[in-house]
Amino acid sequence: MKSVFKQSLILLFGGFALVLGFWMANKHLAGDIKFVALEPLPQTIKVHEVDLQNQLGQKVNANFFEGRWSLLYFGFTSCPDLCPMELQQLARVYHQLNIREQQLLNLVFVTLDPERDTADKMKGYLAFFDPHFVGLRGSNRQIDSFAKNFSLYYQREYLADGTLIKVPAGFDMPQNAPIDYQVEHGSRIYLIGRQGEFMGSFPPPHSVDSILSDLRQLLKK
Amino acid sequence: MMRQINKTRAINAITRQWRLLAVACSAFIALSVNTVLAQTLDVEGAWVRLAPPGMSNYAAYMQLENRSHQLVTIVAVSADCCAMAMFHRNIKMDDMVNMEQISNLQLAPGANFILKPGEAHLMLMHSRKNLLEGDKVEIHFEFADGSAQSLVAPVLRQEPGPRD
Repeated sequence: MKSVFKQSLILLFGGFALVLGFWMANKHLAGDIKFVALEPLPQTIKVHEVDLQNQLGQKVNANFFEGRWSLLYFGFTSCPDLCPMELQQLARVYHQLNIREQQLLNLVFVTLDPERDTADKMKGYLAFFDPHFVGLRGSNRQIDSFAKNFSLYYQREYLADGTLIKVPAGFDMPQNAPIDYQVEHGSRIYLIGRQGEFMGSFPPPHSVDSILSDLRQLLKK
Repeated sequence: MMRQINKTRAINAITRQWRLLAVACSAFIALSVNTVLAQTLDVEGAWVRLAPPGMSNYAAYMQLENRSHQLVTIVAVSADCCAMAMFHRNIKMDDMVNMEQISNLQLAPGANFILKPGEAHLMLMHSRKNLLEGDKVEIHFEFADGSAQSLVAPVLRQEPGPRD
């Protein structure tokens, strides 16, 4: 009887510790911040599988995301509508921050189309929006591994003799694919914290004011 | 002799009047045709998004309105800057976005179609040169009834008007 009581007590205590731990984790994530647009994750996820290069051809690993907050957008430079609009919005967010806040933030664009988005192309493309943008690229496999941190779904597609060919994430484009293929992708803006942890995302449609409001609260922390 | 001169003057005067009438008729017909072309669709706020250097695709935005009493179908679209032009709309499923071509864009009487960033655009592909801010792009619509309409859209860095 005594043993059953002891076991129940241990179970009760264990359950309480679990709930407390979960609550503390959430508290750590959001603290007392009420977000306008950010959808915080219930628990942060350490970003891994970072084996990429920037637009200068320099290697980028997980250390890149430590010490600063990062806002990430995944897209492709041949996109004439959505990607330029999103990058313009991110640049406007950045321009409205003060210098101290800017120094705490990375603006990151990750290409989902490394065949067409060479380092040189990304360099000119990103400088157009803001020279502070860091462009990340790699092989299709490297990009896919990195994108999995955020559960980002994407694929490329094109028409061949009237048939829609879909090229899944992580696969190279066939040599005979036309140059005008499309990239279907998620359009969230992802937030990485100063310890390199994926914290949450801003779902579309994006508003500069809303992102700015949430970001300013986080940058104060 | 005098009678002959008067007769010649009279003939010249009549010829001049006919010429004037012909010119007036031509001008009237030309104006009428232009008016018809201009009224096929009301186009407002047309602009082309400036793209980073080296890019060969551009997006044009505008509001189209069919104020006529007939269905209007755009069967072909072209632009003087680019080898190809086509209407696209963004299809959103949850967070996913994919572009879909719109062939034969139809506007019912009184209907409008808004091309705006993130939703629908006229994609201008394979530009023959880098477009610069302030350049003008001539866009040409051809309709199912054989008529046509042209408009000019300026190249701008960002959407004109108030932003968030």
